[in-house]
Amino acid sequence: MLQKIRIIIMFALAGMVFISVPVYFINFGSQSVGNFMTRVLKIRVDPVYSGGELMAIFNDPYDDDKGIGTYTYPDAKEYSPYRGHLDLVKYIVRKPVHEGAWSEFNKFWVMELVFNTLENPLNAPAGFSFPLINIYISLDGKNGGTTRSAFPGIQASFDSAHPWHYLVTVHGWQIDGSLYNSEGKYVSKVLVDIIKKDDKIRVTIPIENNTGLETLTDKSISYHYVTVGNFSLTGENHFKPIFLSATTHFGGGNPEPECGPRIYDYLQPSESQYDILSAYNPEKRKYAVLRPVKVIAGEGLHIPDNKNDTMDSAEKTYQVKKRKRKMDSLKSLIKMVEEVPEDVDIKTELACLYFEMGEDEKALTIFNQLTGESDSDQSLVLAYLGALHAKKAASKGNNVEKIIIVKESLAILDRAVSQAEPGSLSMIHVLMCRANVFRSIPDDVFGKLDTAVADLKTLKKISKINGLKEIYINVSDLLGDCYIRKGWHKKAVDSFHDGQIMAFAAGDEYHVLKLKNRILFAEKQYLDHLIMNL
Amino acid sequence: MDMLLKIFPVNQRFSKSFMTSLFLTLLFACFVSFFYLTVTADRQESIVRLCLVTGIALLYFLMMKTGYIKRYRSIFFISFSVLFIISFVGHLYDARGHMYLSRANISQLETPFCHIVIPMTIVPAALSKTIIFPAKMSGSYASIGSMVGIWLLTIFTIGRGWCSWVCFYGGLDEGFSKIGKKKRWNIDRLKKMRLLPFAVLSFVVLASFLVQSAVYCEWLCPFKTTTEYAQIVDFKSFIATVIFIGLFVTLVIVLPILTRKRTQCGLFCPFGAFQSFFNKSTLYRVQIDKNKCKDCLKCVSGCPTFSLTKKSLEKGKTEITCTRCGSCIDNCPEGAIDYKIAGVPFTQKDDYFNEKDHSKKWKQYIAGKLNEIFDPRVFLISTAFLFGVIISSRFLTDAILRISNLIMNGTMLH
Repeated sequence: MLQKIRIIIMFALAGMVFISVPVYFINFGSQSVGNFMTRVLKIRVDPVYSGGELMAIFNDPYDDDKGIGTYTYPDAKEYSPYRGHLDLVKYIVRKPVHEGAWSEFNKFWVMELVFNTLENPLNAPAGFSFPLINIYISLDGKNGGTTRSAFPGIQASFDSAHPWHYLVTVHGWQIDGSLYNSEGKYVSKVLVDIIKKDDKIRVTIPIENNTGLETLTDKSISYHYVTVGNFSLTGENHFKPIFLSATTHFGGGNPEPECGPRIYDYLQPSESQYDILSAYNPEKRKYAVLRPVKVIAGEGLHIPDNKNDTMDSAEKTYQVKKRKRKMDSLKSLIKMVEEVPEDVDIKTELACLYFEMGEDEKALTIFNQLTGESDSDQSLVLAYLGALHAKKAASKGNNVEKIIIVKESLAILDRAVSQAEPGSLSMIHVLMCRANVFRSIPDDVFGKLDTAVADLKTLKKISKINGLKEIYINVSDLLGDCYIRKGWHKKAVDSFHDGQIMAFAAGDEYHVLKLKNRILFAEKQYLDHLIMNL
Repeated sequence: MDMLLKIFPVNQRFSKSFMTSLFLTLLFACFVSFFYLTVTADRQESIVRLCLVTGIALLYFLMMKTGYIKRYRSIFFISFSVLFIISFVGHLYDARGHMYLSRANISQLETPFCHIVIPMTIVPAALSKTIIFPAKMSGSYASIGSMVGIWLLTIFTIGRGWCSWVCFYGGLDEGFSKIGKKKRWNIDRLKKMRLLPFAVLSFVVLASFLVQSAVYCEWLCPFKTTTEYAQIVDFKSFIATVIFIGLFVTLVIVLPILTRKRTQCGLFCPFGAFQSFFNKSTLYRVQIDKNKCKDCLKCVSGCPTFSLTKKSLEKGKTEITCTRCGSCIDNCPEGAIDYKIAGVPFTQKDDYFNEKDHSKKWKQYIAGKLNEIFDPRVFLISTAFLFGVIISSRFLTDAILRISNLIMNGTMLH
C-alpha cells in the first residue's frame, strides 16, 4: 500500500514540478504575485523610499515656456528644438518624512519637477543644462518672510499675502542645490537627483533641527512659487537676461528687458501664467507680482494636461484673452438688448459679436430679424448674412450645392458693399466680411482673390487714416497671406512688415512675434522662388 | 563506454543505467530548452543558448549516470555564481553607467529584490502592509512579486535546497571552500556556531521591524561587494561599505578557504536560517540508514553547512539546516544516506517493480526502468536543478555573451 502511495506522490510531484513551474513562470510570473500582494493583500512598498506619500500634484500646461507669452529661446543650436527645455509640466510635493531610510537625511521633504524635456547638451555635472529652478516657499502661520527676491535677477516680486520664508535654488551646474532663508542666508544643501527617463528633477530638502523646517508635518499648509529661468554662468544670480530679439546666447521676445520677469515658465495657480508674468509696469519700474500655489495634503490643484493640444499656447492665451473680453461684452450687450429691445444698433452689435464668437445660429436669427428694419444698417446686415451663408456652404457635402450657396453669398456680399456708405465705419466691417470670404474660397473656381486683395488694401488705407491699429495689423497679416497665395512674396514681406511695425508701436507683442515668423516664412519662400527661377 | 567510466567514475550503488539516464536527460533537456531556446535571440545568442542547454544536460546526465551529486552540482553552482556577477554588474553598467545604487535608483524603486530580504520584510508587511525595501512590486525580473513567487514554490518543494541549487551567491563561498586540499581550521568543534545564523536572523528581523528598513541589506550583506552597493556619499555609507567588504573577505573568501566549509551560508546568512524552518514542510528529506551507518563521520566533516552531527546521525536525519547539497550522500562509503520522500518509509533501492511476478520479459524490462526512474533522488535532483537552471538561465547566457564580447570587442558592455 505504502509503495503505491509513494508512486502516486512521485507522479504528483513530477506533474507539479515539470508542469506547474514552467507554466507559472511563463504565464503568470511575478506579475500575478505582485498584483495579488498589491490588490488583495493591499501591501505596498513603503513610500518613504520614493520620497514620502504624495501631498499634492500640480499640472502646468505644456508649451508655456514663453514667459509672458512671447519669450523665445536663444538661437544657439544646443537649444534645438527651441522649446520644452524650460517647460515645467508637473510639480509634485510629497509629505515630509521624519524617519527616512536609505537616505542621507533622516528628516526630509521631497519635491519633484517634471519637464517637457530634460536634456544635457552642455554636459552640466548634475545632468541637465538649462533650467534654473527657484522654489520660494511660504509657510502658513510662520512670521517674517519677504515679498522681494533674496537675490536680484529674477525681476519679479511676491504676493504680499504670502511672503516667502525659504528659497530652494537648483541648477544643473552644481551637484547639490541650496536652501536659503528669506534674508538670503544659506541654510543647507539640497539633494538633487535626475530621473532621466521621466524628465524629472527630484529635490530633497532637509528638515532637520538646524533648518527651521523641523515643525513641518503632513498637515502643514505652505505656498509655493515655482519659477523656471534660463541658467547663465555669468548672469545676475545665474538668471540669463531676455532681450527683445533672441541672439545666439540670449532669449528674445521680452519688450522690457530691464523689467520683464526672467522666468520662462511659472507654475501657474488659477490665473494664467501670461497674465501674472506680464503684469509689470516698466514706467514705474514695478515688477510682476507672482501668485503662489497652495500646498496642502490632498488639495493639489490639477490643471488638465494639454499635451495633445496642437494650438500654440501663446496664441491660445491670446485667443482666450480675446474671448474673455468678448464674453464680458456679450453679457453686457444681452443685458442691454433685454432692457431696450427696440434698439437696432445694440442688436446689430450683439449679432456681430455672436458671429465673431462662432454662434452662427444666434447671429443668423438676429440678422434675419434686422433685415428690412429701416433703422438698421442694411449693408452691415447683408454683409454678415453673406458671410454666414458662405460658412453654411462649408458644412455641405455636395460640391455642386456648395458652389451654388457660395455664389449666392458672393452676390449678397457684393450687394452689401454696393449699399455701404464709403468711408463709414460699417464699410470697414462690410469690406472685412467680403475680403475674408473672398480670400477663403478657391481662387481657381471663383477667381475672387484679386477682389479680396483690393478690399484689404482699401481696408488698410481706411484703418491707417482712422488710426485703427488693431484692424491695420490684422489686415496687413491677411493681405500678406493673400500675396503669398498669389506668389508675390516680396509684397507679402512688406505687408507683414507694415503690420509688425504697427504692432510694435501698439505694444502688441503677440503680433510682433507672430508677424516676425510670417516674415521669415515669406522671405524663405521668396528665396526658394528665386533659387527655382535661377 | 569504458573510456567514459574511466573519466567519470560511477557510484555503483546509485547509478542509473545508460538508457534510463539518457531518457531522463532528454526529458530534462526538453524542459530546459523551453526556457533557453524559445526566447527570441540573434544567431550568436542562439548558439550560446544551445551550448548551455547541452552543457546543463550533460551535467544532469552525469549526475544520473554516475550517481555523484555534489561534484556536478558544484560545477553548475559555482559557475552560476561567477557568471551571475558578471552579468549583473554588466547589466548595472549598461543601465545605470555605474555599479552603485544611487538615490535616484532608490527613489524609483529600482533596487533588485533579492531573496535574502524576504525574512526581514514579512513582519512589517503583515503588521503595517508595507514592504520595507525600495523595489518594485511586480514587473521586473527582480521584483518583489517574482522573488516571493519563487520562494513560495521552494517552501513546498526543495526547502533549504535553495541554498545549494538556486542561490546566486552561494556558489562563491562554495567555490572558495574548494581551494586547497586540507582543512586548516577545524571549525566543526565550535558546535554552537551553527546557531549563529538563527541569531543573525532574529537580530535582523527584529531590527528591521524596529527601524522599518532592511537592516541586513543596509549594513551586513557581504554580497554588496560583488553586486551593487550604496553610493558612498557620507561617513555612514562609507562605514557600511567597509563592513560589506570586510564581511565578504572574511566569510566568503578567508574562512571558506581555511575551513573548507561554506561559512557565509552556514554561519551567517539569515535567509538560510529562515529557509531552514521550511525544510520540514518540503517533500524531500535526507535520511540516514542507522543500520548501515558505521560512524565513520565522513559525512559530518564533509558537510559544508554544519548540518550533520553525531547526534543527528543517531537520530537518522540531518539538522534542519541541511541544504540537500548531496555532499554526505557522495561521501558515505556505506551508502547509508539518501534522499527520501516525506511520509514514505525510507528504503534503499526499493524493488517494488522487480518484486512482482512478471511473466513476460518486456514487462520485466519496463518495470526495471520504472524502478530506476521513480527514485526520490531523481525527483529531487530534477526539481532542484530545474529551479537553478530557470533562475540562472538569463544570467548564464548574458554573461557568456559579455565574455565573448570582451574577447572580440574589448568591452563587456552590450
